[in-house]
Amino acid sequence: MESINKSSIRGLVSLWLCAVLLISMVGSLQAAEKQRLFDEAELLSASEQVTIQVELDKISRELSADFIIVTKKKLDGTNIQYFANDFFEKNGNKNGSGAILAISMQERDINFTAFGKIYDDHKRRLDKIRASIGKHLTAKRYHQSFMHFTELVRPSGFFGNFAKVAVTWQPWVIALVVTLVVVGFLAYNHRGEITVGSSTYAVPGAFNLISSEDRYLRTTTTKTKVTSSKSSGGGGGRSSGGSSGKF
Amino acid sequence: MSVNVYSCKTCAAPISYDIKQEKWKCQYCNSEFAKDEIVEKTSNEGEMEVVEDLNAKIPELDEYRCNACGAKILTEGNAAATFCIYCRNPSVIKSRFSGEFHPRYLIPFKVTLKEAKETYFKWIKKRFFAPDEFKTAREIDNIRGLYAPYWLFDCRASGYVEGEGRNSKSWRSGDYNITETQHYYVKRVGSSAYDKIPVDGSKSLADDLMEGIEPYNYSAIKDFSLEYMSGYLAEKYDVNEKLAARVMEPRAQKFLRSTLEASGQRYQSMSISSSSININSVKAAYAMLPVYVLTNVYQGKKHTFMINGQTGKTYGETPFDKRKCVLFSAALFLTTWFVTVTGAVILGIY
Repeated sequence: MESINKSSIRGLVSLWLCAVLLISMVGSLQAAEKQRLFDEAELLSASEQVTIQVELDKISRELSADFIIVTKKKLDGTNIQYFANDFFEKNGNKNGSGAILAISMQERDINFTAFGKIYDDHKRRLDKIRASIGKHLTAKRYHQSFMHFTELVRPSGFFGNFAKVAVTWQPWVIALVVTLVVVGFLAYNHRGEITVGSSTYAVPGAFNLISSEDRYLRTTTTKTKVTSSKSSGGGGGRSSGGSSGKF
Repeated sequence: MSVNVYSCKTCAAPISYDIKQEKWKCQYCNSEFAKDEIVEKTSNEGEMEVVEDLNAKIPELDEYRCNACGAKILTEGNAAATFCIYCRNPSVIKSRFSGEFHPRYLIPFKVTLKEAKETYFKWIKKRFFAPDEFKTAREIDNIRGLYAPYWLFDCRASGYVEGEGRNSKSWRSGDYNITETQHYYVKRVGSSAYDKIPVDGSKSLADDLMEGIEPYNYSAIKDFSLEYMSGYLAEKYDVNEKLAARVMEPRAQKFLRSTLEASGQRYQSMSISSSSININSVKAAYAMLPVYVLTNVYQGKKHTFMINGQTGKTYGETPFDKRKCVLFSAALFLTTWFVTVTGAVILGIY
């Protein structure tokens, strides 16, 4: 009885190990099968392409989403936002989450569009992510810029976000303004309040506006260019949004 | 010249004005008198001779003799009501309220000495940057009630302001933010009248401090009467009407300028390029207004505080604790920064 038991257990264990191995192999094979980098503009060397593809696979698996990078030589008049949406639906997925980075070399167009959960995570930073990648592209650091994409789309925890916000200038300015206003108010009241105003000693009803002139002089107009345009819309019930610009 | 002492009909002791009762009270027998019941005991009625002795050795001090104890009362240059330093008997120096120094109006004290002290302590506690040891310093015995000489000016002001008014609107068109600003030439001509703008008539009272305890409530103003001075210090003016008018005029000009700016069509922003305001029909009335003066010494420097004797409004040269200010600013800055960043992270606004 004992020997039968032992051998049958051994058999079960080995079978189970084989199954696990097989499943994981199939899984990795499946993941590797899906192309995520479409370097049609040939910006990367073969070895660089492999590293980017590996990174895209890794985060796609981790976040159960599709991350895609596509580079084009030219778009022939197609709007990059339409192109990116279309390309993601064909090569990524139709209803799930993910993000695409699309680049066209001739127009120097760059687009970053996120879908579903990834969009929800980054919807306020679309322009920033696009601009941050764009900087590397401008400097022709293509490999670095695509690696940067794989880092940027990763959701950061509280401390990661804290560090991100901490380096922006806005909180410093807000803190400075609040401090100046509060300290200024307290210091201003330091000697006491001056409550006498223009009406304190005025004889009621004595003010007489003899004449009043308002003559139109001119109109000045200032125009400031907004560099980015956002488009966001639902595709099959999922939320998505993208940011386009030049690099 | 004579020193006036108002005395009790019952026991002949000196009497002084009681704020709460609005009557004159004898400190010895507690008898109370209304204003018309008061008997004035001048030096002529008494046996003692009171002479103004302009002592050659101390020419800056005038000398009077106390009607109660006969001691010499030394007064500073402008004191008009004072106390005998020996018997604390209140004395009013009549000559210093007569002729050109006869005040037209007065506002009686409404805040008692005790209330003035309490008001001050409440007020100084709220001064955030005052040193803590200054806030808790209880020795403020040198607080004194003073009828301060004031010039109350009635005047008319007329003139104009001119400048530029601007209205802006912004909108977005395609890839552009567009801001359009319309500029207008603006001119306002007008006049107004002002009633009883106060200017203190004493060189020893700083103008900015006196402005800080304004306004007085003029509904309680009374014709001047010497009896009210008894029990307080009082000074006669040493800044004459003409000099005081020079302090009043810029104030009245400022009043009309801001009234003109706020009149007529309003703009989102306005800048005044020129203005001219004339002050005319100036009439001045000399008045005695109640004020408590408090001097506190802190780190060897004198700090003067003024408390409005009618309303209790306080203003003064509060010492500034720089260390406290720096520490507080730093703490506030870092806290605000931290809260802003944390809030932005939690709300996802970044």
